[in-house]
Amino acid sequence: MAAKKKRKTAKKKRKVTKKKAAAKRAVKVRLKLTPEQEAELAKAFGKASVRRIKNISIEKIAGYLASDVGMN
Amino acid sequence: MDDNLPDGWRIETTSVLSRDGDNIGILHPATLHEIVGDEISAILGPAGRVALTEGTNYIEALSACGALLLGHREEISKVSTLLQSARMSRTTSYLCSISGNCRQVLTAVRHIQTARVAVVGCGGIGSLAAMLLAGSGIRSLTLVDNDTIEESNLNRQIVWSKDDIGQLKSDVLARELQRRFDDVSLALYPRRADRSFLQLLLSENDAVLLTADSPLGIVPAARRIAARLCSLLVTGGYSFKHAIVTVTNSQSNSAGKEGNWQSLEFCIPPSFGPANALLAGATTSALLHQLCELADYGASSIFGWDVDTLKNSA
Repeated sequence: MAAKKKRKTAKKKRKVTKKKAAAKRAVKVRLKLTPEQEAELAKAFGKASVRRIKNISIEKIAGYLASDVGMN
Repeated sequence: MDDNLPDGWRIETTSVLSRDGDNIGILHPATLHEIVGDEISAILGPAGRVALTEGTNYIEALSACGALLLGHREEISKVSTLLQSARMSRTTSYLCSISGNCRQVLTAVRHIQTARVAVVGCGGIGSLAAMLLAGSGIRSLTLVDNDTIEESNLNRQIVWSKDDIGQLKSDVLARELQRRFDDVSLALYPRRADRSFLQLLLSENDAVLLTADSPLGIVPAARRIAARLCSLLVTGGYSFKHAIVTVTNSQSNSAGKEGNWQSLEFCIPPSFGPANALLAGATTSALLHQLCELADYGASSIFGWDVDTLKNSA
């Protein structure tokens, strides 16, 4: 009984660790723009586009390394 | 790739993005597309990976992941030319990864190409560092070293060969630099770097890279002089198994007490080939980023690592 409980706890622990690792891999951020860059983007694409660009979430490189992207 | 662009937009093979014939910016030439089936599912740029979900505009996604560097027509043309040049393409591509627009890339390139840099100590770290600096685009180098090449240097100082034994390191390094880069102007000083000479070098150059391990105490002394003159000084060397890099710049404080150290009569300072390469890379990288004003090392920077574990030891 005790052994079964131990196994269950270990499994639970593993699950949490995996979950944490996945969360760590998928760190999402948003682009930080300097006022100069923002003005350039607004000039090229319009203000509405700049708002959308600032809202796009970016996955840090670790996310890319964790995915199965083939390199040529 | 053009299939994903709105009508009138085009990405040239020269990395130039245009709209209705007008050049808008540079698409970072290292940008990657993640393909699932026949579709682009995500883009990887300098800032990270952006998924192309439904409703995400391709151009906006390129901007969000930092893959687009906007600029004026002339700036775009200059960056594109640099990206196609054999001499500067890789450095420019790197600078595109840490710059916000074409103007910043061109400013960084100009800072590198017009800088005068002195390398004091042309041994295991300094000789490789001089090669890396010249390779990155530095066009004016001063080499300071009064040592001659010995057989014991060949195991880790990769610039020399057996035929060079007995010759001055600064002479052979100059010859090898000119073999690879004929646009670099060189000044050679086959002499020891004492304090007054360091002061002269620090005041006449935009940056000094100090890798010499003698005379003893040269690094703290040079740091004090650099701080007083508001000059850029980068040093690289060892303390036993610790590899240490220091950066002194105009923000640094010249305070600090002076002490005297004495070595053993039979002193053999550590010099480990693989760590020399790391130190050469770390020092030249710090120096170039400071020259380009693309990194802030703060007022006083000493960073280092244990060579055996690569763990931070500063």
